Amino acid sequence: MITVGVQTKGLLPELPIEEAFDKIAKAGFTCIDLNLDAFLTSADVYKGNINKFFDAPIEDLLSYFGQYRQAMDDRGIRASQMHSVYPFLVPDRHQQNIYMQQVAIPKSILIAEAMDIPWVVIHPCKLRYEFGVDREFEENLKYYSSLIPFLKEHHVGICVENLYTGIGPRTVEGPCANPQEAIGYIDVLNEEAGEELFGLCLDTGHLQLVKREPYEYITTVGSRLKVLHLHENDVADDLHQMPFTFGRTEQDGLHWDNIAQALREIAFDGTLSYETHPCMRAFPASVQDVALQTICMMGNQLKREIKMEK
Amino acid sequence: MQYGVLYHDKINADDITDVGFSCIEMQWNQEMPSNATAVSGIVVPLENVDDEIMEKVYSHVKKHCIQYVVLETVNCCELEKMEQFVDAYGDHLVQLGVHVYIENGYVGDDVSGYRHCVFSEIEMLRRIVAFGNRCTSSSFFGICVNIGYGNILAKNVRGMMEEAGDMLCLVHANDNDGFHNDKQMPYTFTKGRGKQTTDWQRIIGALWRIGFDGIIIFDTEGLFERAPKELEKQMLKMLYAIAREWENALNFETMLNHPEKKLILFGAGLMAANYMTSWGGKYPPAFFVDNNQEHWGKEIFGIPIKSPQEILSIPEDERTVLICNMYYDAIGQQLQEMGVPYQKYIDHYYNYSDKVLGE
Repeated sequence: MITVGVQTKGLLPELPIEEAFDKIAKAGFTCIDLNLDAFLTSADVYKGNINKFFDAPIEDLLSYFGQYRQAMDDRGIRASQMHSVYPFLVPDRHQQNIYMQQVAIPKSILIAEAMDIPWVVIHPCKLRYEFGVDREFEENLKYYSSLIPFLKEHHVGICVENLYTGIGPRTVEGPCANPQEAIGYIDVLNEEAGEELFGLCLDTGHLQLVKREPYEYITTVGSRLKVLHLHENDVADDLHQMPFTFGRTEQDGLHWDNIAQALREIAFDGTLSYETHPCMRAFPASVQDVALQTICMMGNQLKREIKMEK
Repeated sequence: MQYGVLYHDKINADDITDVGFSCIEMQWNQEMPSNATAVSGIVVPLENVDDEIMEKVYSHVKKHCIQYVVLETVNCCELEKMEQFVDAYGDHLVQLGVHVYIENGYVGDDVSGYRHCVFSEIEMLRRIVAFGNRCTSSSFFGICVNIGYGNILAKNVRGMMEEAGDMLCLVHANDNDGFHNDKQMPYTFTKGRGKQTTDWQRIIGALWRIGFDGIIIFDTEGLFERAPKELEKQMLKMLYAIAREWENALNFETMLNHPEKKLILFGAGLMAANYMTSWGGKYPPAFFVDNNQEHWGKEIFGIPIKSPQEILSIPEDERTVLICNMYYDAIGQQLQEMGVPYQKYIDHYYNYSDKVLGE
């Protein structure tokens, strides 16, 4: 059954746990995307500023997120997906890479297991302009592949995500920007695993930045699509903003009706999850609850469109 | 202060008033439902205005009891058109009791880009308003500032508001990326992760500074064009929530103006200093409270700093507590746990800059 969700970033860990889940539930969401990357940000990882969050014993981490689970259970909310910390590989940071690959990400997977989260999004690393596309594919595959026994043991799957990268100030396609490349990752890994342990997280804003048509991308990857990051931008910057708030005519911006049609055609049955946390920062505090409610209504509207027969 | 929405064919007019707005503005060539209430203004393009258009306008004025006409100056380069308009229609509009608000304009479009025209500068709009009022022996002419049009011409919108001053009667609120005339919802154009590219707080602060008491209309055609029809009412609710936020900011003084109550500021740092600069002379606090124990017993601005527990020594109906610290959520939670109702002081509405010149 299709559900509607929202990411926790922007609400947690900033707000008290109960208050944050109250806001999510009151807005009408029944699912969340648990952002572990809010506890150790990618900006810090790229800078080499690794905080102590994942140093905590796993029991302490499970106890902390147990409070989330309780607050979610009390409100009928479940976590459809997790956004893990990233990147797991930064050139010239050997010790940090070992920590990310052997401590932070495995602990994220254990937290996902404890919270019954089926899919964890782990970004493939962006190495193509320094080391070439083949080397990037090889390094990413090597790490994902190394996780297979652990994923089997803990019943958690991993999603790669379509990404962009930058050459100086120019935005260009990154790992999995091309649907065939994403298929390459997923099929090779699942074949090795002997079961469906890998899938795709589709980010609609990233599609806009690399000028890809959502319909074509979604129908190409088909049932490999497990998780969504829904949002919209100005086609210049990865703004993670609310849909429908760019452009002046029906033809402008992302064509959400095409997204609905593509999801219907591939029989998508997961969560319409909105990755729109900057809304929470951009709107005044007094408007934030209405904004969250509006995003949820957009999700319900999209759900109706997906279910609608042609 | 009145708030409203520029009518769009995809909107149900009743929904505009249902969500709480008191005004609806329409284009001269639109037809409103005959039972539509609260139609306050009508937009007329100066470039094309003629007797036929004005006959239609007069008909709308009678039908809907319209209070004002907005002269849209987009792609109009001839100042003479304004003189001709005042000569031909000014007196009649004044006789009908209809005000005339001249909007800032531009020339160009999304493809060729946008440039200034004679109606882009507020100084010129002030001269036109003075001319219109002189010719009609009235004070019915005023300025309308369209914030979106200011943004696509890279104007200092806060400066536009301040320059318009007492002649500013109407604000058209919408936002864009600075390159395309998107006419979108305020607050949705950002850089990076949520940093606003339009400084809405200080623009609204400029309205407070000039004592603006006119009408704010959300001119957000792009939003209604793009959003599915099923979400139209929710979008109106969002715009109304923004209007309420601005209303509270502009009416902040009403909340302070309770001499029978003791004002307590939570926070004794930079934001408290900002409060004292902007409001402290007229509405000084009885005392500050702060979580930093080292401050307790000391004074700033000659006013004592106490423990937050001291709030409870004043009965609830005899105090107003104002959070004066950027950690609104954490302090709000603390006050909630103490059972203390509170308000928030949003300094960016009232301070001119975060920076300090000199000592």
